[in-house]
Amino acid sequence: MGADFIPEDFDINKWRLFKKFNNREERNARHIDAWFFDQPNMPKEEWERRLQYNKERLIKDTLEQIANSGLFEDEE
Amino acid sequence: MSEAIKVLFRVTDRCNLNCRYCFAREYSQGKDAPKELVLKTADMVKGAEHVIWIWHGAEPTVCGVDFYKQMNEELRERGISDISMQSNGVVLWHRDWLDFLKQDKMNISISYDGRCQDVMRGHKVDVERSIGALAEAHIGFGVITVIGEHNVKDLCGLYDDMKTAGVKYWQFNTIFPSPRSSFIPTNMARDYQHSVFELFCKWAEDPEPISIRNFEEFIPYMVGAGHYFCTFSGSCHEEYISVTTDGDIAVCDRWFDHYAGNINDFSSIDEVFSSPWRLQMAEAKRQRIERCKQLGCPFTDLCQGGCPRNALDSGDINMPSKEDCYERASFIAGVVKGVERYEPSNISNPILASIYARYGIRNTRMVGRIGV
Repeated sequence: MGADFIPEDFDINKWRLFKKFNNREERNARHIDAWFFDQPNMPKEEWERRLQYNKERLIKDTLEQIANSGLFEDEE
Repeated sequence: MSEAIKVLFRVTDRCNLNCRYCFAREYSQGKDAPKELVLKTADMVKGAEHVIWIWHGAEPTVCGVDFYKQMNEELRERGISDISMQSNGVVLWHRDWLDFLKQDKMNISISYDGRCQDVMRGHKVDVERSIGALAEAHIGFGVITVIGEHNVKDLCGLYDDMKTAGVKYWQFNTIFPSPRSSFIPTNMARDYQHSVFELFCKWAEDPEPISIRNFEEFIPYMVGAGHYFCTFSGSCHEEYISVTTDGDIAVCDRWFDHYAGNINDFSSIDEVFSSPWRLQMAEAKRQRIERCKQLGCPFTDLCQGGCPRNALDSGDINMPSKEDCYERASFIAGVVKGVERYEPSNISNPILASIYARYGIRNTRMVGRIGV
């Protein structure tokens, strides 16, 4: 028997990303340098700048953390 | 001494129903457990940090309400206060039962199959009358529905049935193999996956939902919080004991063989958990997990090699059950597809919204769209 019980339309890489990103312990331990959006009356330009920074930084950091986390070793 | 123990006490072999998928009927000897056996078991487990005592059968209510008035008092005198009963619900609408349950506060779980009740179990009118009476008397209860080939495509219909009947807490379990029934066929796995996904969507968009344990416990579990059903923990041999009417000790109510021994053979619960059969089960679990890893299954850490009973019924306790794998993969894939579809902003269900908030759930689209 192989792992043929996994549905064909199930994206395993996406699942690993989902699990990695949402994992409770990982999330508690993870530090990502990002802006919060909790200040009222922020100028629109600053809002845009921070949003762009977060988008780039969080994706980059998340992918780096996944690459360095031993995720695939964990689940091999 | 073990910290938390779940005792599935099979208080009787008798039952007032004859369900088409029953896994116990063929093994029934028509016997009740003597009170001395209840007390002996309670004395053995009472030192544990926490004991969850579940009156099980066949059908426990056939022993009569007076039996439980006395026995629950005995359990509480021994510090065992987390007491439940798994019942078919046929007689719970009777006045003596309602009065007792209202006063006793014992947790009740009813087996009820909604639109399939009469075909698969019988006594639909009585069971729905019990559900209505319990709700009216403000007695808390949950419902468990068996999912098999007969209803695997209609989880949404069953959800409607539960709401109509007045059920507030619902759980669905896939069918267990037995002399009378088989696993959901592997060629229906996709039907199950689709049905789980449809139910998830229906539930996510329901502003007045009922509680669905399968989702509410599984979503946190898959991100590393809490625990899920025993069949996913892989540790039943470490926390469950099931005592038969003869005092034989099995792992759960599905075992009619492979006993650790008789309760008279042991002087402590620790001896039960360290008995040769329990250690063999631990080794079998290790081997199943090893096999799952070799297969490259991405869900190994969630299902922990699956249910040992299902593995044994599939031919080898050391190997994961193929049917089990199909069922679990389908369930997980159905839930994940649902979770991927919703973000906190488009969930109408307040229960699900609070789970997303509490556990910080983000779907993979959100992961790539920061600042939301």
